[in-house]
Amino acid sequence: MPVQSLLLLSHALFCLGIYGILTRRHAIGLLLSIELILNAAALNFVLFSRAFGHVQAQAFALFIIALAACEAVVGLAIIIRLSRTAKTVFADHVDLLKG
Amino acid sequence: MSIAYGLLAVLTLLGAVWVVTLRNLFRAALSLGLVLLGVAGLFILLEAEFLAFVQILVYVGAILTLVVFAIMLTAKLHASSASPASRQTVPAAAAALGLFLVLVSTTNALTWPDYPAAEAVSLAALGQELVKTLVLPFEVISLVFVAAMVGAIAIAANPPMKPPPS
Amino acid sequence: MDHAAAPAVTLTLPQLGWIPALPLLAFTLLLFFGRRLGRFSPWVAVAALAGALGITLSLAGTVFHGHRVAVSWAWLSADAPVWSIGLSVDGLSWLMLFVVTSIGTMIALYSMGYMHGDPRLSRFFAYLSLFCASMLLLVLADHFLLLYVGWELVGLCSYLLISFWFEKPEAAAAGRKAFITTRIGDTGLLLGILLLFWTAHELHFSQLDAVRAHLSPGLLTLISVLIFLGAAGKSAQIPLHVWLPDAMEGPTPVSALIHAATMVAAGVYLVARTLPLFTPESLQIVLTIGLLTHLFAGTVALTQTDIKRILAYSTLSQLGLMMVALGLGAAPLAMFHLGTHAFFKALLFLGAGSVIHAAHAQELGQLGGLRKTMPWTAALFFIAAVSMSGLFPLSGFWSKDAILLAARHDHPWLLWVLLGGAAMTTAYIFRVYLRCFEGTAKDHHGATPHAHESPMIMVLPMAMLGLGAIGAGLAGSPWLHHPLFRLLGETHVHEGVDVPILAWSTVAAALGLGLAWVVGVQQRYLLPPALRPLGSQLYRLAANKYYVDELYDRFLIRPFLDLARGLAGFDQRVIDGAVNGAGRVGWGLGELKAWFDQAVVDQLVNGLARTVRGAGATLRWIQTGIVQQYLFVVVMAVVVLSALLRR
Repeated sequence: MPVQSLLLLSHALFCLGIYGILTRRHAIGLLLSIELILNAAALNFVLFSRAFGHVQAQAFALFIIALAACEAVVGLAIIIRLSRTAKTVFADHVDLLKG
Repeated sequence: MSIAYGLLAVLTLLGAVWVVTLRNLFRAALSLGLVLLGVAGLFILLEAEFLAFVQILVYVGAILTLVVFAIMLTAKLHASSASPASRQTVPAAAAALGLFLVLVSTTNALTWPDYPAAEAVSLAALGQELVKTLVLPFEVISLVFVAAMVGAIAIAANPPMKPPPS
Repeated sequence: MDHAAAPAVTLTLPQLGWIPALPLLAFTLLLFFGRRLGRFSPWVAVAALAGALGITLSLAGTVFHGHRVAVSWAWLSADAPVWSIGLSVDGLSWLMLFVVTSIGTMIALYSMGYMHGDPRLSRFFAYLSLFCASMLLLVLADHFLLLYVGWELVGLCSYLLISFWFEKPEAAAAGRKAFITTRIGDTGLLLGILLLFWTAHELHFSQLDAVRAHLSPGLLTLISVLIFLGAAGKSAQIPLHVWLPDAMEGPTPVSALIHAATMVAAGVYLVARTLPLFTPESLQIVLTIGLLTHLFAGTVALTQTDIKRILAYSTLSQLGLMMVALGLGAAPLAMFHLGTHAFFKALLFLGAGSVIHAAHAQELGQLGGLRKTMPWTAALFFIAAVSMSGLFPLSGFWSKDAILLAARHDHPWLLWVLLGGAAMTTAYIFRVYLRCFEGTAKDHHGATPHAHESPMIMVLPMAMLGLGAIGAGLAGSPWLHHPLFRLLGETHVHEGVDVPILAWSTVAAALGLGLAWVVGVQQRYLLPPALRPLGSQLYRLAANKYYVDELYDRFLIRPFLDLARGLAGFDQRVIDGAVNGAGRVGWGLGELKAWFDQAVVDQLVNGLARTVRGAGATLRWIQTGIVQQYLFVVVMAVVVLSALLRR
C-alpha cells in the first residue's frame, strides 16, 4: 500500500525539516529546511491527488512550488542584506528584539 | 514498481538527513538537490509528470542555483567562525520525533483507498482547472510573485533604496 | 393635538444609516486625504455634519407624529435576531440626534476659526467627525451591543481630542485620565449588559418593559446600578467626575462638544433609555448621586478662577441636575434640560473660547472689560448666562422649572435644595461674566487691551446657539402645549406657568446675582468676623475640589503603583534570579561535565555533556531572544496537545 508508506515518507521529510529549523544556525540552512517542509506538503498533495483522483490537489502542489520560489527569493534577499548590514549570517546573532 | 518507490524514498530520506545534519552548507545545499530530484521522481511515479518537470525546472534549476549563489556571496562571513555547531540538537530531535509519531499514529488510524484507486489526473484537466475554478488564486499567486521580486530587489539593492520624498 | 394618541407605527427608512455614515465617511476622507485637502478639510466635516442634521430634520415630521423609524441589517445569523445592526429613532433619540447634529455643526463651523493655522487641522476635523459619528451610532442603536460599540468609540475619540495637543504633558495626562476614569464606568456598563443578556436573553431597548416583568427586583437593581455606573463615568458624576475638569486641556471647541452636546449627554441618555430597568432603590441611588454632584460641583465652581474650569464644574453641576430628574423617574424632564443645557453650555464654552482666543488668557484675574472690545461675544455670553440661571422666559427657565416642579411633587424638601443650587448657578456664572466682560481692562497685564472681536466664522455659530439658548426652551413650555414632552411620551404635564415656582426661582437667581456682585466682584466679606476662619476653611476646601484628586492619588493610585512596583521588584529579584540561577547552574554543570568528560572519557560521553548543556540553554530560553528556541516550544506544544487531544 504505497499511500501509507509514501505518507510515512512525507511525514519524515516534514519532521526532518522541523528538526533542521530548530537546530540550524546558519540562515541559509534554515531556508533549506523550509524547502524540505514545503516539499513534504507538495508530496502529500500529489499523493492525495493520485489516490482520490482530485485535480485541485495537483493545482495546489503547483502553487506550493510557486510560493516556495517567492519565499526563497525574499529569504535570500534578506540574508544578503543581513550579511551586509549586520555582518552575520547566523540567525541567533540577530537578536535585536532580545529583552 | 515498488522497487523504484523504495529506491527513490531512500534517496530522498538520505538527502533530507544530510540537508539538516551536514556542517558544510554547500554540501547541504547539494543534498537538497538530491531530495528535490527524489521528490520529482516520486511525482513521475505518481503520474504527475508535469509537476515533476516544474519541480526540476523551478526548484533545481532556479531556487537551488540561487541558494548556491547566496552561500558563495556570504561565504567569507561563515568561513571565519568555522563551522558552527548545531544548537539544541537533542531536544529538537525529541520534538521532531514526537511530531513524527503523532503524525504517523494519526494517519495510520485512517483507512486509505487501495492504490491506485482513481484515474490519474490529466494535464489537460489540470490546465482547465487552473484557468476556470482556480483562476483567482492563480492570478493572486502571480501578483504575489511580482511583489516578492520587487521586494527582493528593494531589500537587497546596494545602496539601499530611499523612500520617495514625501 | 390628537397625534399623541395615534397608533405608533414603525417605518423602515434606509437613509437612517446615513446619519452616522456621513461623519464616518468624512473621517475616512480626512484621515487619508486630509493633508491633500489642507485648508478645505474643515468643510468636509461641516458638510457631513450638516447632511446628518438635514436627515435628522427630515425625520422630524414622522417622529413628532409618534411613529418610530427603524432599519436593521443582519449581522450574525446565529440563533436569535439579537445579532443585527439595528438603528431606530423614537422621540428620545430624535431629540439627541437633533442636539448632536445641530450643535456639532455649529461647533465644527466655530472650530474653523478657532483652529485656524493649527498644523494638524485636518486631523482635528477627522477626530471631530469620528466623535460625532460614534455619538450618533450610540444614539441610534436599538440594542445594547451596538450602543456599547458607540459608547467605546466615544471614549476613544474623547481621549484623542482631549490630548489633541499632546505636546503639552498636561493634555496628554488629561486624555489618559479621562480614558481610564470613564473606563471604570464602562466596565460597569459591560458587566450590566452581560448580566442582562445572561439572565434575560434580551438586549433590545424596545423589549425592556418585558424584561422588567421577567426579572426579580434584586437582579434588576443590580443591573441598573451597573448601567448607572457606566452612565456616571461618561456623565462625570461623583465619584467618577475627576476627568472632566482636567479635560479642559483640550482645544476649547472640544470642551464645548464634549461638555455640552455629546459625551456627557451620553450617560444621561443611557439612563433615560434604560429607565424601565431601574427599580425604586436604584432610582434612589441615581437621585442621591445626582444631588451630591449638583451641590458639590456648584460650590467648587464658585471658587475656581480659570474660566474653563468654572464652566467644567458648572457642567458637572447641571449634569447632576439631570440625574436628579432621572432619579425622580422623569426622563423627559432630564432630556429637556439636556437639550436646553446643550445650547447654552455650548454657547458658554464657545464664548470662553472666543475670549481665550482673543485675550490669550483664561484666568479671571487677567481678564476684564472685554465688553468694549468684544461686544458680540459679551452679549452672547450674557444670553447664555441668563439662560443658565433660569430666568424667565429663556430656555433654561423652562427646563429647570420643570425639574423643580417634579421635585416639589415628589419631595418638597428637594425643591429648596435645588433652589439653593440654582442660586449658586447664577452666582458662579455671573461671577465669570462680570469679571470677564465688565469692569476695567487690566492694562498692566498687557493681554486684554490687544483683545479684538473674533472672526465672523466664530461669531456666527455662536449667534445661532444664542438663538437656541433663547428659544429652545419654548419647545417644552406650556405656551406651545409641550410639544417636546409629547415627543418624549410624557402625558402628565403641567398646564400653564406655575407662578410660585417662577417667583421662587427668580428670587433664587436674584440672590445668586447679588452674591456674584458683592462677593465675586466687589470682594466684600459677608460673614460676621467670628465665622470668617470657618468660612475661609470651607472656601479652601471647595477651591481644592474637596481634595478628591488628592484622595484618589493617596488611596488608589499610589498604593496601586506601589503594588505594581513591588511586583516588578519581586519579578526582577526573585523570579528572574531563580531562572538566572538555574540557568547559570545548568551552564556551570554543563561546563564542568564537559571538562570532566573531555578529560576522562574524552569523545565517548560528549553527547551527555551536550545534553546537559542543552538543558542549561533550555532553562535560559526565556531570555535568549532566539527564535528557534521559541519555535521549539511551539513544536513541543503542538506535539503534546495533539497527542492529548487525539481520539
